[in-house]
Amino acid sequence: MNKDKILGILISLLSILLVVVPILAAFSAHGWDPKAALLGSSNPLETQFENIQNLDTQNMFGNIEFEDLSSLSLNDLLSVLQGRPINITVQVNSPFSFPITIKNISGNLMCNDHNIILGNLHLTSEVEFSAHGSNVLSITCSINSSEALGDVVNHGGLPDNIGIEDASLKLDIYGIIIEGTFESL
Amino acid sequence: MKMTNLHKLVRKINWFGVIAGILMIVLPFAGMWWRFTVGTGAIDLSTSPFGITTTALGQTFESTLARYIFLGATISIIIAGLFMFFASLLPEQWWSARLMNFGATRVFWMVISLVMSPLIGAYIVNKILPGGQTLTIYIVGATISIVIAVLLKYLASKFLKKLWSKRLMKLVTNVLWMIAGVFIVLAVCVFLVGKYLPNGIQGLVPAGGTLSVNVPYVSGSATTTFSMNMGGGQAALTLPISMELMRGFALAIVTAVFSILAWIYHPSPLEKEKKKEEKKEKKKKK
Repeated sequence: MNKDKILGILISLLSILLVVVPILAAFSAHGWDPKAALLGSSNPLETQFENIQNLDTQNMFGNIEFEDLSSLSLNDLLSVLQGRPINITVQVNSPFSFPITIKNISGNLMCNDHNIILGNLHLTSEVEFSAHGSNVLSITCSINSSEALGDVVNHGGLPDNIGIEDASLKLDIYGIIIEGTFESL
Repeated sequence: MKMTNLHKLVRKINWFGVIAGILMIVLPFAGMWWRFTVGTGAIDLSTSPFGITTTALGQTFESTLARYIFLGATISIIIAGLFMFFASLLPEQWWSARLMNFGATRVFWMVISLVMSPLIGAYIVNKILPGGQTLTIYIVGATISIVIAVLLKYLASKFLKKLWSKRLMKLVTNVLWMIAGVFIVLAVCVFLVGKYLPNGIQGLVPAGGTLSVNVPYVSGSATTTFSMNMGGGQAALTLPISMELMRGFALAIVTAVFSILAWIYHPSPLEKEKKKEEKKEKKKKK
């Protein structure tokens, strides 16, 4: 066999070894377990999904602060409603192990007793939460249409049975936009 | 006299190969070639034939198998670069052509694979998964590619005499075989979608929902949207998807061009023997 052929065989062997040896070494490093060799000893995405499935939502909402309008007389209440929107602030603790942004919350406020639209609510500005972080949601409610004010007069104050209809929630998780719309809450 | 020898030596050097050899040694350290992102880091994948980094929702993936395979590819291309460098410096040595052949087309095929993989993937997602495709075009495509490849091989063996033209034709024929392979893969995908997803990917979406799959081809941005009914409401998911070719890829193209030129230009052992015989004959005649 001439030296050229021997070199040819050696080069072919080298090509094969450079492919086969790394694969065998990777499987050998993980005790010939294909899954561990491919994904490592722990799969971070699996851990992330487990975290989502076992979310701690019990402590998600902290203090909810809003103006006490119940002590106002009907005339004062009407002048407050006509003059400016009502602000509600909610302390939220994110249960997620990744950052999340609430881009929008909106909906119509309904008097469930008379099926009248009292006004609307919306998130004042988008709110960012770091992983397991806390922040405050500021929600603005406007109740100032003549129909809404008439309903307030009928109830002698704000109705007790207020619902939210045509609500929407818009979230941003790492640039993925998740939007939910709900007929009623 | 010395100057004449040096001049002869310099003239013999395969300069394309010298440049390609150096570039091949540098290439594994020149950064990633291609990047794929979903959102602003929901999924972030950067890859080259020498490495991969993947993060999903802020978590980094580690795969021993991938790391070792990429290490093998890195060592392989460095060896190929060294072989090409020395083969080009001493093109008339008996081992030169063998060393040149080891890695001459390696970077070229790496570039082709990196372009073809996302291209085929995007085509399958955008065109085949929604359904409604027929097998005919892919079978015809594969058949035409195979016929042309066989015909070119036959014509090359009959009519091509120059080594560079034979090598170039070999490369073209291999590209045609690869195209035929791509058509066959796509035909299999069309067949499987037709058999298991008669209504396309839309058939997997619950009633009232919509799925608009849109993935860019190799480089660019697109948006995939999914919506579904949820009791009294609806949920919608918007996934911005982007792909980009990176700086390392530009160097890979330059390296591939130089290594192909070096391979085509490089003399074969047979050619060297022929030249020697011709010289001997000339001397005899004198």
